[in-house]
Amino acid sequence: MPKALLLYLLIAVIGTVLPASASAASTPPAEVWRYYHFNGVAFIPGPAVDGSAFIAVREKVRPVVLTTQTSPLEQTALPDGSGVIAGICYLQSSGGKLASGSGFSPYPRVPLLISTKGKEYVTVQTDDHGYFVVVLPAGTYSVGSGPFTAEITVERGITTLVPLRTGKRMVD
Amino acid sequence: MNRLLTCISLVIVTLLQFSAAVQAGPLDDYYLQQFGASQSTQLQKAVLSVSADVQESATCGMPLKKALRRDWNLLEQSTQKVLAKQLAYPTLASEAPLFTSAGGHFVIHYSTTGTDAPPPADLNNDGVPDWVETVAATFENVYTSYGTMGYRLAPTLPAGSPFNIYLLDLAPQGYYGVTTSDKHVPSTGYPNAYTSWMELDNNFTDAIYHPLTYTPLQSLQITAAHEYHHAIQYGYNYYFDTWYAEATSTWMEDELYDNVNQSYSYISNWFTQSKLALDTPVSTTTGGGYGRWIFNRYLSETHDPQGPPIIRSAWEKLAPLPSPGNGADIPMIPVLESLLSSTTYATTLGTDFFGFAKRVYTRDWTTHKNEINKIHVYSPVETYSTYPVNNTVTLPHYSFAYFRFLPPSSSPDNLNITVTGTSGIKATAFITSSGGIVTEYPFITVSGTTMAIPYFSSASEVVLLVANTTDVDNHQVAFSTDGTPAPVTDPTTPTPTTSGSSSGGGGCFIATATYGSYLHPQVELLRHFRDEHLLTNAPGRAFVAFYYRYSPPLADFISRHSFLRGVTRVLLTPVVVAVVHPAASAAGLLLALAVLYRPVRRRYLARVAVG
Repeated sequence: MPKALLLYLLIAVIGTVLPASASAASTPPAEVWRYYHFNGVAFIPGPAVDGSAFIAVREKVRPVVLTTQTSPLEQTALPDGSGVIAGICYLQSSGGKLASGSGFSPYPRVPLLISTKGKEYVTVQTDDHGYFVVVLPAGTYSVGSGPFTAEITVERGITTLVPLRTGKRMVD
Repeated sequence: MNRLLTCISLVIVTLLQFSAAVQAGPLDDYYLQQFGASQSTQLQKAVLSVSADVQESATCGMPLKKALRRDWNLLEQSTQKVLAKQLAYPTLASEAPLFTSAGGHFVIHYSTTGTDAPPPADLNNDGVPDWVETVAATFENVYTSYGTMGYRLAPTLPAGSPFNIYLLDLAPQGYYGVTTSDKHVPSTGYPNAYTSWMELDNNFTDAIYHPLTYTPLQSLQITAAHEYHHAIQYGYNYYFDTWYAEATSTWMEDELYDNVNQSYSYISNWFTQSKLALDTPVSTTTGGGYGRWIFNRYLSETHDPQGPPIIRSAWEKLAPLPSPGNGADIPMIPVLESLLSSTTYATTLGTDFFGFAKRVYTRDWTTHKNEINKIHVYSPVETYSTYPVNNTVTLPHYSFAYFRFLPPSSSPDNLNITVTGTSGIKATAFITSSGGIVTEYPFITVSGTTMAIPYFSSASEVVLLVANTTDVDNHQVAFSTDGTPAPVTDPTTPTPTTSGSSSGGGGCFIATATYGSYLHPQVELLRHFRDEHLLTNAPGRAFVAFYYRYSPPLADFISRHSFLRGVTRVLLTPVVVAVVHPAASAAGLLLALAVLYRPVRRRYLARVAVG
């Protein structure tokens, strides 16, 4: 066996053993809720500070949409072999001749088609904050329809956050 | 007994389902009819039972929308799908019967009381406020003008139905008007066409609209021209680049209503910040979008006499293009580059941009000549009156800068300017005599080229124009009056042309592709490592730049193959471990080397002994 390969395998074995032992002694990421809010372009870490909705995400648990930080958060375990697509449908605003009109507005109560392999899988509806959460078996899905479609890969136990711009406003 | 219970349960469930269906049916019918969605072939069956008395209440929007919100969860999913966007339309208090314009192309929604109500004067006593009739007539005029100019007019649904305009008090928000996308109406050549609707201030009399400078009618006229062109733009391609949308709509204000001239007020913030790129995001403080309309005038003046209207051609060029991905808008600069380099125009955007930058100084506009004095004069980045001068400037894509040289009291007769620039730089100098005559001294090359400009001592001024005429950021130009310009460095990283609205956060491409999500804990770890350890030092930044340059295609390939994702995940494991536990990883590495050292050394010694 070439020496370089031997060395790599040894490092890989040590690398695999070390985090396992280390994680037992510390708080693993899976045990922590992480907050994300939508800033008009993408989801960024942290809760929203302006009172608008944000989402709490945790591995292997159904995410929760919030408007304030509450504790404890309801923990609904994901079914085995499933993951989550969550996100926001929003209307993007830009422009403003006299005052800036740039920003975004959530798109509440809008139906959102989830399809896979060209077939309709389920339709979900955004909530009053424009957010949606859908638990799905691992796989690849199309979220939305027509020009507002995003291809998302769902992984077991993982929440994928998707901002979907479903409208555009020219403000002047 | 069990069988009896099962039968009873089945009957109850069936009855419940039936009653739900009976309840939902008329409710769905009612709302579909009220919101004019009964044309849908999918829903034809649902509207057959609508009664006449229900149809009569269709003009009262607000209670209907309130009721729709209230009953939303009772509606069938298919009905919700059709009516979802109704909830986004404005709700007017005491909405008057809808007023349709004389040509039938616009329907005006307005209130009869409250802050949203338009001026109530009704001199012709027809029961409709005169202002509402003026709004309708103005939009018909705009519609006709754009039709004459050959534009594809704003699509509506059903096709041919009037375009919806809502009169609201927008002054508290500081808006003239707002145009919002609505429904996807693809057709041949227009795969991303959308309908839209419009909100318009209800009177334009508030102080923020400067009614003493621009009459309410003038504000209405330019807003109608501006906003309806946005509606046209949605009809061409929803994914338009917003800076160019505003540049076109603002240009159109003066094309349709030449006597208002408000558009000229947006130019100054561009010319005073000309080192900002042509496609700077929309903002009146930078001149982004709105102020860029004057570039459209240059394009129109330069090309329209020889061929089809170039601005319309730009929108037609955009029409069939797909989104570059993830629903992002289509950058307009490549579209303009492609259009101008076509056989029809046979030029380049760089050539036209430089031509425009020169016209900023020379002011030899060929149209709207009586308004040239309204165009902001050139704005020098720096003015010099003591010499020698040495300066270096770095310019983003499609930007320009002027430098002004004033003759000192004892100036030499010639001013020698030496210019060195990178490959994307063009330069020229102008001398203006004391009598106001402008003469150009163009730099054919900018590779240490010296231009001797005569009669400097008696001139009013000499100006040097330098411009980045490419879509690549950070082209550099250095100039001096003593023949020693500083060396310049070509930009190393090409700049993908994006608008402000289409940017996205940077990610660890390969890791994201491998773990399937930007939010995967391992990806987050790597991202934090990048931000906290790599981007804080020069070698780290160089590595990140190299990685971002070459990794996206590889990441794309990996993301499409599950086997490769698995392999890459294994290969990334030591990296992740090293990031999470650097000390332990170093110790592990040393341990591995120690373990390997003995057998390797033994083998080496044995070989030596044999040898």
